[in-house]
Amino acid sequence: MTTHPQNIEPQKTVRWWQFALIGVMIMMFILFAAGLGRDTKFIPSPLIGKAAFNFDLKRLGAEKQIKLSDYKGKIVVLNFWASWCVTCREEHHILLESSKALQPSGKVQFIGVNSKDTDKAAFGFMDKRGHFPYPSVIDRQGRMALEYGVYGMPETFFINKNGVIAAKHIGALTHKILADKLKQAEAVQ
Amino acid sequence: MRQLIAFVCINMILITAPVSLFAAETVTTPQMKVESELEKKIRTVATKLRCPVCQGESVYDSHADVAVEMKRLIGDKLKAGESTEEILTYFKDRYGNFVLMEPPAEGLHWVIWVFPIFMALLGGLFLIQNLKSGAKELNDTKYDDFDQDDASDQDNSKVSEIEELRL
Repeated sequence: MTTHPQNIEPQKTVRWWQFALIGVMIMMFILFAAGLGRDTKFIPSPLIGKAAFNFDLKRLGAEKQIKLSDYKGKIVVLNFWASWCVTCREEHHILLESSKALQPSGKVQFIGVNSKDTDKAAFGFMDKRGHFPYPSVIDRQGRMALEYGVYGMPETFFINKNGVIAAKHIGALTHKILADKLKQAEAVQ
Repeated sequence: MRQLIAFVCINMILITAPVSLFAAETVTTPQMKVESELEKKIRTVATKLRCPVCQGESVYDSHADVAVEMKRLIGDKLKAGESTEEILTYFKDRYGNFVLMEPPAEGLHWVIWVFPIFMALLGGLFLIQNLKSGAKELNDTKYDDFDQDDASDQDNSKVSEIEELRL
């Protein structure tokens, strides 16, 4: 006599949907793991590799207009700053030192964009921390910042000698970041 | 008493009538109508854009400086006759797909659109499979009620007794 059929354990079959579920879970795990390693502050700019917007704005503290096209043939370091921007204070000495060191060669030109600020506050900022040895243009409403897809201050664009945006940096600059981005600007045609 | 109520009612009408007339005139001012239409259009576009510095809010909902300026620019562009699509493209070209509240189903973004449908299908199949197996088990239990529940233990013990005798 054999044992009762009910006592025989039914053989478990792994169905296709179980495979699919495991596959999806693995995929989700990989996606989350990849996401954890990402710098959330880094948002790639669609402007990299494209022609920079040719602005024509009034110079801060002068009646002169400044155009980007005036500097064609030079690498332009376009720095968005404001007196109310706390991080701008961190990079201020970097900009002063670097511009003093690099501009005399004639290959690099620094331009500041004083965004959503007042002349009085901007000069107060520079009086306290040192005047830039290069011009700044006035972007009173912040339209120029929108034109360059700026998220927040400070942001720096590296425009190559052909007027193409080669690199961008969000946040305070360091000497190393500046040197790396300038190399990129030299390399990109 | 009736006279008193009538007096109060007449006075209330006399007091409120000029205010109502003034209010009605204010609401129907053509200039206000134009502004409200523009506001409506700005809202339509601004709700489709993500505030670049807030990340969880639309440009319309945000009070951040950049969002306020974006709303102003949307207004100016609408006044200049640009369409919603043209304005959205303008911001997309400068901020990338990130600035759109609904990213397009292209590149890796298709995962966002396909994944919920896929999971819903998978969940549905899982539910059907479980319901089917549940129903089958219920049927088996119903027909083999005696064998399974009451007698199985007794049967087993009897089988083991017989096997012991055989040995």
